[in-house]
Amino acid sequence: MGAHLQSGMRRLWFLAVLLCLWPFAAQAITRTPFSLAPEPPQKPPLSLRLERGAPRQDSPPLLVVVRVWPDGRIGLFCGGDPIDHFDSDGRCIESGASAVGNFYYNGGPAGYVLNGIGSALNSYSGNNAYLGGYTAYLGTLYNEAGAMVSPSTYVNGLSSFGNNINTVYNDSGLLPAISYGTTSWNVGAVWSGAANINLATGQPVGNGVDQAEDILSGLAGTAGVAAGGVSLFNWATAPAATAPATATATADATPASTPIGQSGSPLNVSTADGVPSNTPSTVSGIDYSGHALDQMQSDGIMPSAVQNTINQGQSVVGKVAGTTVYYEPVNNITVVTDASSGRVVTVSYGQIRQ
Amino acid sequence: MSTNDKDYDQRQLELMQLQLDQFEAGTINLSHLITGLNALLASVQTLSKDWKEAFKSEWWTLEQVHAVALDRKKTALSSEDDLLIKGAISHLRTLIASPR
Repeated sequence: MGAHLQSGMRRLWFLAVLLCLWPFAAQAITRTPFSLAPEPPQKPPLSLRLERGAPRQDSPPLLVVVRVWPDGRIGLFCGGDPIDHFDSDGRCIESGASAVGNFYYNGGPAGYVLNGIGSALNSYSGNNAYLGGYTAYLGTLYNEAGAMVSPSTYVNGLSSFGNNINTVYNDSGLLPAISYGTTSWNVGAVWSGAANINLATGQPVGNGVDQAEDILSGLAGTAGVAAGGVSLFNWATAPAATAPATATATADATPASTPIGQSGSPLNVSTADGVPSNTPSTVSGIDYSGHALDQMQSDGIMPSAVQNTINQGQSVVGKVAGTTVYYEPVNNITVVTDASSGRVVTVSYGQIRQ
Repeated sequence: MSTNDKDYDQRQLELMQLQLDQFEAGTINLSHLITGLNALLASVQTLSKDWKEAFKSEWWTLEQVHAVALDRKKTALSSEDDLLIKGAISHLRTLIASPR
């Protein structure tokens, strides 16, 4: 009996030591090898817990809390202080960067925190007014995960949460109209975050991309599209409450619900293996390749702007034999045509310097 | 312009470098490279307009070769295409090595 008790105590002691050391181990495995910045001063590791209801006054300074209100709102707190992108007093978050990223910069166990947040959010799969915000969290977390050295350690929680969002969007179609612009922007964040993970690891993260596409397809089937249009913005730009004016002018054969990007924040619309998702088409008398239409959709360039570039822009012989390059400096658009097919083969912003 | 912004951009530059390495090692294709570089260029925050325009110009060379190859349904790139791609990659590496 005594021996059993001693053995049990030893196990408990071992578990306690393991739990104490885990944050430091997690910190070590999530530190990126790419950063050239000086090492930040070491701080005590953050910890994470899920709480429900009103904030508690006795939260320890370095406890990160995912707080869930009865009506479905979710907030992040550190030491009882709301984390609303920037931490107000710098206890958890230094100013100038996103909250989760600073968990990492401050030596926090990022993988642990991210996975915990993802799992907490994942418990909410019902329809409510905060789905846009949840998608924002997802996009932010994906982006932060992309900057980590071992994103696969915590992407699973995000993926399952993203799948739940997809289900809700696609099944309910009841997202408040005011959320559409922000939500579509956040879908861009999910996509770009997944792309960042792919860039950082070289590993496919198709689930994140699939989630973004599924959320978009859910949005496209709802009344909000007719009310304000769905505009897809990348995470690097500010969210917009409604679609830009140019989006409503999307011409001819392109459905109004088709997501488009914008200058400086392109949306990739080609398929994973680079095959165009559009087929060659004629728009307003100009023949386009499928890839050119993908590019226009990706960059948010209207056919009228392409026509204007060809008619008013400067033309030079392209670098590839048989091509002509048109550049229109006011809109900073370049159009490339191929004489062999007579089609516009690609369109984007910027200029080719000869 | 905060230290975090510069750190962030440094990471994007390193990811650009990684993309070029992966392309030259044959682990990603030209389409992947073009998409990746464009996304990373869109995300940098502290680099000068001149640097970004120079980068985009080299990106455009890659994009032009790729777009024409797609439209002409080429199954392999020509030696002229290879030369254009290698030249653009060389210029891109120079730009990545000297951010300003």
